[in-house]
Amino acid sequence: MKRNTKIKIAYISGYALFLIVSFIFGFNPGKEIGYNFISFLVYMLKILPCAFILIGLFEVWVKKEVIETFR
Amino acid sequence: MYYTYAITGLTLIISLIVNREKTLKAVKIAITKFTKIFPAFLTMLIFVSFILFLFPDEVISNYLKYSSKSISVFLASLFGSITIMPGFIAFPLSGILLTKGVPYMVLSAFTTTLMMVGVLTYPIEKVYFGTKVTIIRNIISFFIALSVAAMTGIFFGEIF
Repeated sequence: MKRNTKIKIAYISGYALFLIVSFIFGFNPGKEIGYNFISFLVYMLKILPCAFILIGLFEVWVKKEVIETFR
Repeated sequence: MYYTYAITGLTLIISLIVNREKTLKAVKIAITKFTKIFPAFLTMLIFVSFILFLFPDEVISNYLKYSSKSISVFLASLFGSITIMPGFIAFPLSGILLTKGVPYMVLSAFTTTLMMVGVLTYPIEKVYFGTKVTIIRNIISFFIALSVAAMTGIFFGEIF
């Protein structure tokens, strides 16, 4: 698991570096990928917090036994 | 979109009034779950941002316009069968593809296989379910996904 985390950090930071460098030097494909990424990220971040709060509330209020009786 | 906010806000307020402690616990659960899934989420977005750059909107919609839908559905279900992904990744991904003009039928085949069928996850599944169940489950799931896609096509008027 720890090795996995390291790999994740490596490629995510690599990607971030790629975007930063593309924006500094005006590398157009990189800029376009960056805009794509940001627009998707914003779009997701609008919905996800709601979804996760609802999941949290569901877990707290609905007991595990209730779900287990329907398995 | 605003309905989602309204419903979430309302339930959160009701929950707060009824039981403060439980609500705080719920928010904590939400935050931990979110932070756990976030790296996988970023990975998905990174891949999608690259792939959609290589295949811009026009290419995708042109391809889907001129090729037959049954082939698109079949290809989508094959792509989806490669591995299993949770709904949290599958649905946002489909949402992006939907805005690029991919038909509901194709998305249906893609998401259903993505969540139900996994070839790469076979070794893990085998440990828990056994070889026979795993193979049967995956094959049946694949055909269920295809029929779900066909139903989606019928209900959304994309076939006939």
